Amino acid sequence: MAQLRQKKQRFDQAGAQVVLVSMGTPEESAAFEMKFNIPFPLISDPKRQLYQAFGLKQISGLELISPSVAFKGLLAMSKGHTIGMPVGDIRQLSGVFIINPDGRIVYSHVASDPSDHPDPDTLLNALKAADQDPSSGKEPGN
Amino acid sequence: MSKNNNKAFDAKVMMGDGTELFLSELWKKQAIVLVFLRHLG
Repeated sequence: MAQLRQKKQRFDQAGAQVVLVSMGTPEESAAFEMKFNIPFPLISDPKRQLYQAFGLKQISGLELISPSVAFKGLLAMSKGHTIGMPVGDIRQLSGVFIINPDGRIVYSHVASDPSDHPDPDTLLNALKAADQDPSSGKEPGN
Repeated sequence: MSKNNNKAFDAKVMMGDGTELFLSELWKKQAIVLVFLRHLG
């Protein structure tokens, strides 16, 4: 989240809007937005309908506490990722999708463990590649 | 990472401020980077 916030201007320049989805209730989501002054729209999905519709994975309780996941978590923290308050099903994993104005998914990342996040530069590069893709129906750079 | 070119799922969603809209309304004007969170904060 912090990394996305830092790169907000670059997403704006790339012509893309970051939209967050949380498992929090609308009340929890509103409190989160207010507390952290979140600069992105936030969808409240406490029943995880979107998580399921986009094919995001769940891990078992054993996987959640495995040494490899703990190590990856520490590694992610060393790269600037923070650990926040879990909301909803803690076994639910995250993901990122870039959707073009024509409704096509042009990039997807389905997390394989809790520390698995694409960095913002990867997303910005994917946006650039999608913008230059002739099949996107867009003129490059527009 | 995978690039699949599939049409994205669409449904009515609730924003954090309580307003409801279709997900597709968010990508009509510009590309969106849809980030699913595991936690708040």
